[in-house]
Amino acid sequence: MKNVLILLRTNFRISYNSLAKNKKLRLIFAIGIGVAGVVAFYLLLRLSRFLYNLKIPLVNISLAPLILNIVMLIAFIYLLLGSFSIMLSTLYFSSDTMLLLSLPLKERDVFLGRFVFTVFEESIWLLFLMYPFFVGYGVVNQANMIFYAETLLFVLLFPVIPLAVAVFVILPLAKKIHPRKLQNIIMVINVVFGILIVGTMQIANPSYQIVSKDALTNLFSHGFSLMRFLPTNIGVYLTMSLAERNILIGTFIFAIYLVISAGAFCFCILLSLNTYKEGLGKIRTVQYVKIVKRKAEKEFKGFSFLPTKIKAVAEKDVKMIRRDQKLSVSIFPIIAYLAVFFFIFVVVLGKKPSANEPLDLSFFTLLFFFVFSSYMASLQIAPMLFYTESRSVWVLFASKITSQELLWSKFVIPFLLGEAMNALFFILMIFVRHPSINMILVSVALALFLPFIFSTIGVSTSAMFPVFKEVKNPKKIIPGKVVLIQTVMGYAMFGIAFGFFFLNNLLVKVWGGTVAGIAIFILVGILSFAIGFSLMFVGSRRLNYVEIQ
Amino acid sequence: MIETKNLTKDFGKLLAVNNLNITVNSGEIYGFLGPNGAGKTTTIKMLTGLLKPTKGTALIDGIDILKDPIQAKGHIGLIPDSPMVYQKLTGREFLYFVADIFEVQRDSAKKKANEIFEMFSLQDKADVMIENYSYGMKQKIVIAAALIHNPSVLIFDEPTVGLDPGSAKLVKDLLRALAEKGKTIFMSTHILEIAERMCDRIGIINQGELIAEGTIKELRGKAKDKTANLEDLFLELTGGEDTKDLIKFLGY
Ligand SMILES: Nc1ncnc2c1ncn2[C@@H]1O[C@H](COP(=O)(O)OP(=O)(O)O)[C@@H](O)[C@H]1O
Ligand SMILES: [Mg+2]
Repeated sequence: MKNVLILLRTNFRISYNSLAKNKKLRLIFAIGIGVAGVVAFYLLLRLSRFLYNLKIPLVNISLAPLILNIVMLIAFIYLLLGSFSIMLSTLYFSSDTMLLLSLPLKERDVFLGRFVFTVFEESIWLLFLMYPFFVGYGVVNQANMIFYAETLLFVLLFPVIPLAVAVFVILPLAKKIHPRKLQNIIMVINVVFGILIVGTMQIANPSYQIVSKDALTNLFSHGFSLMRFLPTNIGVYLTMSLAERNILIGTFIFAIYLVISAGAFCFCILLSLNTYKEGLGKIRTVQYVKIVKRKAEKEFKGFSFLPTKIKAVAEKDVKMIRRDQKLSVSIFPIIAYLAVFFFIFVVVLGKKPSANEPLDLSFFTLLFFFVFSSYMASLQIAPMLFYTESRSVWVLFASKITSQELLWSKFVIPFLLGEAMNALFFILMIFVRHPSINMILVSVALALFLPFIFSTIGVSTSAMFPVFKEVKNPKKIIPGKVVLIQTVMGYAMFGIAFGFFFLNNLLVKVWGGTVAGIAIFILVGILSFAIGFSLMFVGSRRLNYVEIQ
Repeated sequence: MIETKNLTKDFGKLLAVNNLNITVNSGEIYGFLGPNGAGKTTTIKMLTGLLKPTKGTALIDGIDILKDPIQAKGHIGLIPDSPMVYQKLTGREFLYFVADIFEVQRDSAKKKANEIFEMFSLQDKADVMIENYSYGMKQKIVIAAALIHNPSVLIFDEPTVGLDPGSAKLVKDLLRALAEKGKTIFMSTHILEIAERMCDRIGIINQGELIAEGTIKELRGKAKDKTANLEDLFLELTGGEDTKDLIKFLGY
């Protein structure tokens, strides 16, 4: 038990220290986060009080149980979906695992320390985002202190059950399947869930349904009859009885909740006793057992059209992405986003624009998709490829590669990926929408040039901050400054692309669709090349002054 | 041929290399000897274009590394002090990759790679990912990569660290053979014995300054006590005398 406390204390200190390098800055950040939390709390409290006081004339019932249920349900689903990857990465991929295992600590203690700390981390969020709704209910109903105390405990312990559910699934599975593979599987499942949720929302489309009185009453009566079966209802009963000063009943419900949580918690510990060790063992030994011979002939050779030096680097990067699990795990979510995105694209494409709209908003959405897919495929991947050179980069800087060649070699993969995604969307668009000539020209302009722009931005801004170091977590390989700059430039490109949409609308009225389309195409092309090449020039100039420590 | 001209590097306050002027001729093995932190690696990084000198420059086969870095780098084979290479490539893929970025024809790269693999007895590891190599094997693959484009200047930071005696002997013989073919070989080391046995000429560097240079014979001549061996000279020059007294005092 003492060990667990020490581990917890260390974890807290690490989280606090990782806020910022500088001591003063750290305090400022901590205070800033605190203030943001309090502001969120206050706003949500106002919102909840407003909602609780709302009387809907038609349905003459209080909204409170529904709202509380919805809030808890959202929190629960969010925690449950997230907890699989959160628990997996804290339990198996924390960087201090090796260190802890070399100390005289039981795996059980490590597990306990990590589980409790994760519960704590999650409950801080809930304290600011969920607790206000309970407080609001208390204020509206003039509840006493016992109400606030017990609901507070209820909220703080809320993450235990979803996290425990994740642990039930993960611990036994990690014994069989390598945790890294498991991580990929969970990601796929999450993406599928994402698609399902988006899909249901598109099909259900609430804007069509809450229009008639009947529909509204229907929704509520349905909602209420369904609500009885929700597990989160235990929280509603607890809240209501306590607010009505039925302390005994309320506390009894609370006790039941405590017993369930404690049961789940204890079961987790029991389960960890004979599963956690094996899963950790897999991580520890994998490097030494996996010796795979590779046939050089079978490998990817798709870039033979490029100059030799550029081709060599690009092909090497493809090999690294395919073989380095750490790298592919961080590139995978990007592909996953694109998949979700592709799905939405198809759904939205299916909708015809209504005839009397002044602007063709579905065309607008289409253009947005081109920008977004280029952003994800090109700007997200380019810096990652640049910085994965890490400590091996001396090989390049001691060779006959010029800094221009180095930059363009890092440009190839994100550019081609972006073009491939856009080509796919474009073909889809042609088949589903039968677009006008103008629409085709404007789309082609964006689809063709945006990956160019985003890839050059990604590569050249990375080159401006050439730090090559070894990192455990590939997500942290890109320096914070670069992420910030690239995000800002990315948004700027969104703005510029929208500017072109409106410009096109203007030009169509003056010159007609075809000429306007050609004009836009030329304009976008010139602008892209001007921005792209000058960025690459600046980036390569910076690389000339790089020092390899 | 390597020629440095007032080569200087400071890291802020610290003067890591100060006004270094050395010439290494082709066909010669030059030993750059100095204690830890003397500035050997810093010098090598400047010679190979990885660090920019604060002042001065270096010529590789007469090509200025600052004015025409790419051309100069084409003449150099570098073996750095720690073998950091792409873990996810196999040894063969790595050699081909290096051949490509040095613009070597694939056919001659293939031939050369096979020769080198055989020489280092790495044939059965050639198609295994480098992450599965031992430290010594990694070092061998880095040496192989430095040879693949047949450079005329070979720059070697702390050779034989991490190599087993057999491989170390192999490297020594290799360097000698390359020197005999007219290549310029520059190697740094903090181990006196290696310098004494392998090098034609030795430069001793301490705290960034070249404090003595010459053949082993010449260096011996410079020592205060003519009978002293090179170790005494080295300690004398690098201010290690105190250490030596201490060792004597302690009775070792
Ligand atoms: N990037 C750097 N920043 C600051 N000081 C450095 C850096 N690299 C080396 N030094 C310092 O320069 C001196 C020479 O280092 P180095 O050339 O690595 O010595 P060695 O002769 O052992 O190879 C040392 O004092 C070292 O601490
Ligand atoms: Mg060194």
